[in-house]
Amino acid sequence: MNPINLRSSCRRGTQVAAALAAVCAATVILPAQTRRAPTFYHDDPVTTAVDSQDASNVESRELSLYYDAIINLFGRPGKPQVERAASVNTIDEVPDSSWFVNRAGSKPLTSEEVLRGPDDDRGPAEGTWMVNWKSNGVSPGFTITDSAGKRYFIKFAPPREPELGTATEVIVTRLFHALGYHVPQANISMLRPADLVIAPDARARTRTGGTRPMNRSDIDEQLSRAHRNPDGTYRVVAGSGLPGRAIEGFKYEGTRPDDPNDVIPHEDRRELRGLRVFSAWVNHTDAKAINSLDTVVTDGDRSHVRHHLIDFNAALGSAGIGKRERRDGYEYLADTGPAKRALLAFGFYIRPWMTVEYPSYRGVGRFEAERFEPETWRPRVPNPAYVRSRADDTFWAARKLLGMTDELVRAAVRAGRLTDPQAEEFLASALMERRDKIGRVFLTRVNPIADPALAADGTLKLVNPAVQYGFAQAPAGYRAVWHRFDNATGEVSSLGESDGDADALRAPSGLPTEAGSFLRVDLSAVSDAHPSWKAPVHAYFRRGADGWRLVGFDRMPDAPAMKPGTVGAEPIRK
Amino acid sequence: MAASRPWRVCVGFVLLACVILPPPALAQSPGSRAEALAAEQEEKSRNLQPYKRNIFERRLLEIEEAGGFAVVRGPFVTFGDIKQSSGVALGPAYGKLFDNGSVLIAKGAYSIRNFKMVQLSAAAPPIARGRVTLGGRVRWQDAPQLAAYALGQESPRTRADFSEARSELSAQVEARPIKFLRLGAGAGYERYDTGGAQTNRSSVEDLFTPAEMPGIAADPDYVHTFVSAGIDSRPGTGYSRSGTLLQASLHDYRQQNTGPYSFQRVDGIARQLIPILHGNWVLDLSVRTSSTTVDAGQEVPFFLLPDLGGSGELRGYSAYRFRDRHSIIFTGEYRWYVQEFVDMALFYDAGKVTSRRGDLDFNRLKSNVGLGLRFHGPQTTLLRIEVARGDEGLRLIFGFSAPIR
Repeated sequence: MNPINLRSSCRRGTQVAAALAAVCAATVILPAQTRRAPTFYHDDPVTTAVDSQDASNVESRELSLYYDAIINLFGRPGKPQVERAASVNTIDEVPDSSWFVNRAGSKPLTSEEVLRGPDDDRGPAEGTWMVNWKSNGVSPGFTITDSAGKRYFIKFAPPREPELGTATEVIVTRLFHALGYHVPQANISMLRPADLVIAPDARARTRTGGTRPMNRSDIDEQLSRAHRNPDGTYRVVAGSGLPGRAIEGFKYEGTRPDDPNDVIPHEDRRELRGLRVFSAWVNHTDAKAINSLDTVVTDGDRSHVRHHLIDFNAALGSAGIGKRERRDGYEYLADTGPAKRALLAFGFYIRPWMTVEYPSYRGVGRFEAERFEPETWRPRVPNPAYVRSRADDTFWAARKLLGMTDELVRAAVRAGRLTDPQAEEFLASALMERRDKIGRVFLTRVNPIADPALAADGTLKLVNPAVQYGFAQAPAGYRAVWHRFDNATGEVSSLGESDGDADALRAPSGLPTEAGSFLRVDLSAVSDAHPSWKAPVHAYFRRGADGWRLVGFDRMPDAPAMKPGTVGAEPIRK
Repeated sequence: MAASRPWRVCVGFVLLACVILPPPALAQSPGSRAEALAAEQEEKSRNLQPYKRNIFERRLLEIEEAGGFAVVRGPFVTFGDIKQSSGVALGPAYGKLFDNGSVLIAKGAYSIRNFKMVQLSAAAPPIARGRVTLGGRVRWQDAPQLAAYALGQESPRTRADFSEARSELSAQVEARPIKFLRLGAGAGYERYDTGGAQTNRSSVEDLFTPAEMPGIAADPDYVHTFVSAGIDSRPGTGYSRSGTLLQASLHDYRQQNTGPYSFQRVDGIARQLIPILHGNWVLDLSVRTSSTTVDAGQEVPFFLLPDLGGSGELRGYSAYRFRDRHSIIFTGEYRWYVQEFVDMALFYDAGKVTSRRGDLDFNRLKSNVGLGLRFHGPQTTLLRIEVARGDEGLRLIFGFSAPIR
């Protein structure tokens, strides 16, 4: 063989090998670079989170109340680190989903809508009520079918408290529905024992856990545990059955392993973290797994799981079977800090809740606003989602809550049909005062800049809810730091800075004009009273044919590493 | 120049590959947020798992489905004490709940001081909407080492030991016909078998004469009947932060075998719980008396005499430290809330035993002070850990019920 040719042949072989290697590298390395998902997709921000997979095979499971309480009191279920809520869209809002539907604070609500509640049902029709099932719980109750053939869960009022638990259940149902949660309809109704007829197939649960045919003594036994009005009627809460197949409740941590659409750990759901704020508002100290209910509902050819909050009679001033414990809302069932102090101080450590005085209005129970402290409020048992709530979660919730105007609050309270007008007025006023306290705390402790809007001419406007609702003085000014943002790589390049007020922050010259380009604007407020407002929020805009559109928002882009805390998320101290 | 050619080819191919080859990973990447979420859900749908409970959760759920911790059903462990000074006892138990609400419980227990107990008890279904309760039991217990001191308030600290085995078949009824009124009655057959103890202390027969200690080596069988009546406004009998208790009970011990040991005993209690600061502080004041009477020629056996000392009464003194025909004890407690189901208590007990009823007064009382931690349920005291100091020293007390019931 000619050495030159050999050399040439060798060189050709080398070239082929190099080419093959290059192709391999190109197919392996380059796609790896381009595999990075863009920060923003064309459909961001989404307003609806769709359950795309069929969940018809999700099975019912019984949850243990004891286990739930013990594991949350003495353990720390869920992920050890707290990150930004995972259920928010790119502009830091919770899209409509099987968990939550944006209502108050997102769209105008009327008092009629709040008074109406989840649906138009107004309770059982008059006439014969066919009793189908007797519950065996702490609160007496039946399942009935009314004269119109509709099924209801009937809950009675405990003796001597005809209005407290029943009004609470209905009022809080209305409020939580208005706030955006899926809840069953509940109405106050009057039960006449003579209207009750035992259904032929009615069953009662026996003490040993079995069932047997129901008889009249079962009804009498239930009525004997309930408050009887002088005219022989019973004031009850009639709850509508939820559509779909009930599969028990959801836990506040982890995901349901047999639900394909449940991919976000519940403790990372903003709507559950934010529930801390709403629960504090109405003193709902009992948000736990068994006070939730999942149902499998079918839309078209696909089934999915809808997540509901249920059982609100242990809220406001009620414990369901009477007035609530004074400690509720102030301490966990096992709260080592105050317990240690009490142990050592011979009882002379006076906890705040020990000296709270409550009004004595009929149907109100132990509920007030004056001593309410939103940031330290806590349920009876630590909730994995609540203890992970960050300042951006509580800000989101507080802002939603401020959407509950005085008029809407009064409408919800009216649904409770309290017979004492002064009680109704007190309850509504207390809810308003508590709402405002929540706003004062949670809208001001983090940079409150919201809803930035960038006009095509480069004028940036923003909203400051803390100022808007009168909880803080307007800051001396606002600062914007402008960047060009590369949506593919996440890289930024500075464009300049500007200062101004909330109505006019001028962009520096040189903003990109081509459609599809992105900006990141770091927005902060200059306020000596609120140093935390100096930490900027990040707002992202995409240039479209008709101007700039907000596509991203992060209230705490520089949040430190956090862990579940005593009440909410706390920074990890190194 | 030539050497660089392979790299030119290389770069050329890379560019070509980038243009014409579809990057496999990119081809599968979602093109929208909706697709990204759907992809995540689809991935999970390929790996669905049924919900699995761990063993702890399974067991707790079983207890809940059986009606909770307050309702005994199936096998469980009994924990507490068998008799004063038995120490902590533990044993197997089995409960059966019937559809009509009646309950049958079988249990056995063995204590760290070798006390033993076997019991079968039954409770009838609640009558008259729970206003009347009816129960009964068969019980055998063996106490191999119980303390006996000379009778009287000024008895020396010299302790003798004795053993006591007791068998019982009894039934009792309790009624609450109207609010706060509590009536009770019961009857039972009780058999006592006493003797020397297998301990390194003196046996009671060695240290005392029958004149000094009536009933030594006596094995009386009794028909024991009692009636009681009281006003009780406490929310619970085992734990409460408010209310008043005024109660008297009359017991008749009628000996069935040969022997002079028939007697009657009257117990009285007056107790006032004063809640302060909404019940977070509680002043618990009580006085209790026991008094025995006998017909001519009869005596009260020493092991059934009113006694003071131990975990319930005059806690700074050892169990059964003082015995005599009559007793009185005053207790003042200041309790404070530590947290839900936990209280602390500072207490003072003062009492005496006497041979004559007329001597039940405030003179020459034995007293102690103490401090304790209480674990309780809504209406039950589960565990007391207390330290009490009397003039005979410091005592550590473990109790499994309220000191005063």
